[in-house]
Amino acid sequence: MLSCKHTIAQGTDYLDKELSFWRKVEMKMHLMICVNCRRYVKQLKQTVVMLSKGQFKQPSEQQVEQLKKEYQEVSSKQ
Amino acid sequence: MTEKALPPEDELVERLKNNDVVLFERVVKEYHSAMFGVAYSIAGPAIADEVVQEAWVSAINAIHKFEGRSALKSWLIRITANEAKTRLRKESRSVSLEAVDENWATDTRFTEKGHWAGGNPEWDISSPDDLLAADELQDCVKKHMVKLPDNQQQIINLRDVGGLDMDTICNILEITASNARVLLHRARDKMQQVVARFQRTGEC
Ligand SMILES: [Zn+2]
Repeated sequence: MLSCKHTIAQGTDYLDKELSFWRKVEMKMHLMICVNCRRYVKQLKQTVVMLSKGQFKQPSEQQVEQLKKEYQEVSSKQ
Repeated sequence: MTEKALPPEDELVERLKNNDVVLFERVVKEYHSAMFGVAYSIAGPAIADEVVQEAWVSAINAIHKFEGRSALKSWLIRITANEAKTRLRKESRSVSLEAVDENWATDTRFTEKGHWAGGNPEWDISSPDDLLAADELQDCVKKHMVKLPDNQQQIINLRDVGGLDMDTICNILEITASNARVLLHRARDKMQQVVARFQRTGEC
């Protein structure tokens, strides 16, 4: 039986569907009986989704204005 | 989070090619954060802003050639990563797996036999939307993202924040797929722990 520590170490490969068939079976069997690891996999996924949608840094007004100007200049030439 | 979703990809690109400055501004605001994360992790904090600005300028000049073989966001992220790479390279770009595994033996979450030492509690804030709406938590995530080792920071920014596929990432960072997978997991695991600790203790 896979230990919890080894199970969560495969968390990323499991989510990204990179595990071989038997590894996946082994992992699924562990997840079936272990609520802690099941939660971990769910939390890892939530973390990934959060990172993909997170807004950690907004551009300054000045940056936006500068880029809009650049965009309009280039667009008008094409 | 965005108030309004951007139009579908085809329409989006078409309108950007046709001088739609209102839409352009929305695109800048939507993707700037992810581009900044990538620039920061590869080129460092001092020139990250500059790199993103230059990446946008390159994108503006190349948008009419964009054929939509990848998503617009992936295209912008790739431009940013390449721009960042041509600039300052952090002194050590070598991928050390020893450093990656140093915590394996001393991971206090687990007993010697590899069982959870104190269990793994359910999160109070658990949907991605609720996680994103918790400002203090987001500040905490941000703070810890930049504390990750360089190579982990680069991978998690390119993959999870930037949405690139692993092949592209391996090319950009010049590392093997297996190293990339290990590093990505270390980074995600660390961020899971940051969120878990915040939920448990209310502290960052
Ligand atoms: Zn377990």
